[in-house]
Amino acid sequence: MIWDKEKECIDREDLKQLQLERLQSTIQRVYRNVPFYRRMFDRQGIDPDSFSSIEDIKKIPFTTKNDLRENYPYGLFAVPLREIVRIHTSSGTTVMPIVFGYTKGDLKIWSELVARVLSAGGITKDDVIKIAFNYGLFTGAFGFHYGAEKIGASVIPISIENPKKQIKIMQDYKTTALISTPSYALLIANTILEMDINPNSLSLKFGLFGAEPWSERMRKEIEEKLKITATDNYGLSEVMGPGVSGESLEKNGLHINEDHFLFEILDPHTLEPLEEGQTGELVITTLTKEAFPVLRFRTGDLTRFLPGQCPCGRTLRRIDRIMGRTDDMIIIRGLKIFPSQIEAILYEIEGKQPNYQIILERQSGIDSITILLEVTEDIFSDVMKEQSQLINIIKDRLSSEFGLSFNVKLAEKRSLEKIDGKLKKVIDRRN
Amino acid sequence: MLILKNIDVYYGKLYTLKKISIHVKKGEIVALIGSNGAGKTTLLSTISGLIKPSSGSIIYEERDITKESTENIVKMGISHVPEGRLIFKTLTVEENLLIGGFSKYSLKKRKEIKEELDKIYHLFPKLKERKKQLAGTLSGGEQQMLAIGRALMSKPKLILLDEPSMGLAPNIVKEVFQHIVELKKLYGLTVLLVEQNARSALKIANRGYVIETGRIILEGTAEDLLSNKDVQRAYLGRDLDAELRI
Repeated sequence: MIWDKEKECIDREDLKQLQLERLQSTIQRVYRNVPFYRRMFDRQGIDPDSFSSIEDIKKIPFTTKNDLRENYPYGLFAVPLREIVRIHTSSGTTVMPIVFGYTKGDLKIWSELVARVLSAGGITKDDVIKIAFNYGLFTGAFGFHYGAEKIGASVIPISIENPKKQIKIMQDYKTTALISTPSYALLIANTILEMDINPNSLSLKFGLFGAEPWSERMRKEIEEKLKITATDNYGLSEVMGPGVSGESLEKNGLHINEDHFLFEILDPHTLEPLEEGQTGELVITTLTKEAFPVLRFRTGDLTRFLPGQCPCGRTLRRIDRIMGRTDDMIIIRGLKIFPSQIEAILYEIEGKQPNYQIILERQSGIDSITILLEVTEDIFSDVMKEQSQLINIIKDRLSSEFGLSFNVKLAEKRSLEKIDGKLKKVIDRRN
Repeated sequence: MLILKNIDVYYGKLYTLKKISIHVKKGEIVALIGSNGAGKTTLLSTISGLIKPSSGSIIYEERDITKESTENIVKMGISHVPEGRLIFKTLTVEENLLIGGFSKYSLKKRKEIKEELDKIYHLFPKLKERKKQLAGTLSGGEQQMLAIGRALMSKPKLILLDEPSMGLAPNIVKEVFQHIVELKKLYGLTVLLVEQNARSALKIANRGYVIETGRIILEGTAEDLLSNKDVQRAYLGRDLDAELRI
């Protein structure tokens, strides 16, 4: 179902006009009300009255995560604090968090946009939705919660609970939809199998997953194990939260809510716009945010614009699933490689989610790439021959895929280097 | 139906409108709200061709009318009800209405004129009662209805209304605004409405723009604008601090 046909199937020319109007008024408001942006414009000699087309946005310098942090806590709010009715923050554990404010109007638009994404993913008022995100400072849970209520679905704000309890509730309450990260959905799926529950006995029909990059393969695995239709969605607190973009049941890329967000995809190094289909860094400008507008925010997320019209009828442009972070993008001998591409191949060979690390090194001017693959019980084999066979299979697949030779080594369980308790996928030792 | 893109208007060296971009879709009531001197009237006059913009474009039904004469713009179906009504006080009500139809009908087409008059009398029965009276003897609300009726005589598709509530008592304002909603329903008219009385305007509008010192600073559905705190403070006469004290 299409939640807001008028806007989601808007004529592209009408959309361009609307975006121009909203960009112009956003710039006026931001220039008047946010000292950070006023200083930026004045310093660079940018006239806030000089924007006559969407393309003029290129005049504006980027806003980085660091800019948001430096204005901690309320420096970037465009309205007085008493008009703020909700505050969320980023989940920075070691660094200063970023504080996001919302006016009443922002919350209204937010739930409206989440309702669009939920409807696109198959949700209607007849669904019983379980929101398995942490309710707290993180925008995910509350964003989906209000959007689902707007649709009129029955919302179970279960949060993160142990999987067995999740499954019990799923069975007893006849949950029809699951909102979570894809990895959490997989955890639930695997627990269901371990508990020897027939997934067909559940009422689950739809899953909307986001908040972390995942692969087409992972989608298939979740869909098969849970017997559901799984769609991808993408949003970020810096511009709002969930509701920024989401897939329709066609499962062919995420429709951007372009009447509220302006997307640019740029080469992460030259920062020049890329052509449709080329992967680069996503840069977002908010067009209607009242409390926390941002101009040209560098998301650090990598994706590409998808060509063509979606059969679902929405005219809003689509992006591909997020391929990773710019910090993770590997450039080796002029080739661009994303860890997600390597991950997909490892997954294909191993048949399950791999734990791995990519090491980049330079010796006498020549770059080399090494994959450290954590040994699991399946791979672990006393027979050296089998191990070396596996290594060769992986090497061959990778080099035929990328036209580059790879080193592959097996690593002991839990031996991969961690930073802040998180596995770092790429370690670059070249400099 | 109507698309303005980057309209700049200067009076001498002072600009009054700066990069105004707005649009009005067929069948919509769009309210343009803002305080005195923000540029609302200038904007309407620019659309009806009374003032020429120094840059930017005005597209009406896919035709560029930026450089068209007012006469042609009226013929294309845009009718302007000016601020302060500007009716001819020494003429009768019916004569005022006939003037409104002059661009559409030669005097020979009496039948069509009669039909059009009847439609307007049906919409505003008070005008019928007073058709022989001099317009100057009408009350403020009736004069406003006459000004609207006169604009309807040219059979417009888009009507530009400048401050229809000006100088009217609150209950009369309500009545005038009800008539505007009826116009939309009965005639399938599209309305661009300029108002200082933001609350009344937003109550009947589908969408709105807020104009401040010649620039659009906010666009949204009427409902969203009504609940916007900036709009409430600046244009809806709500003193939020006073409310907080209560």
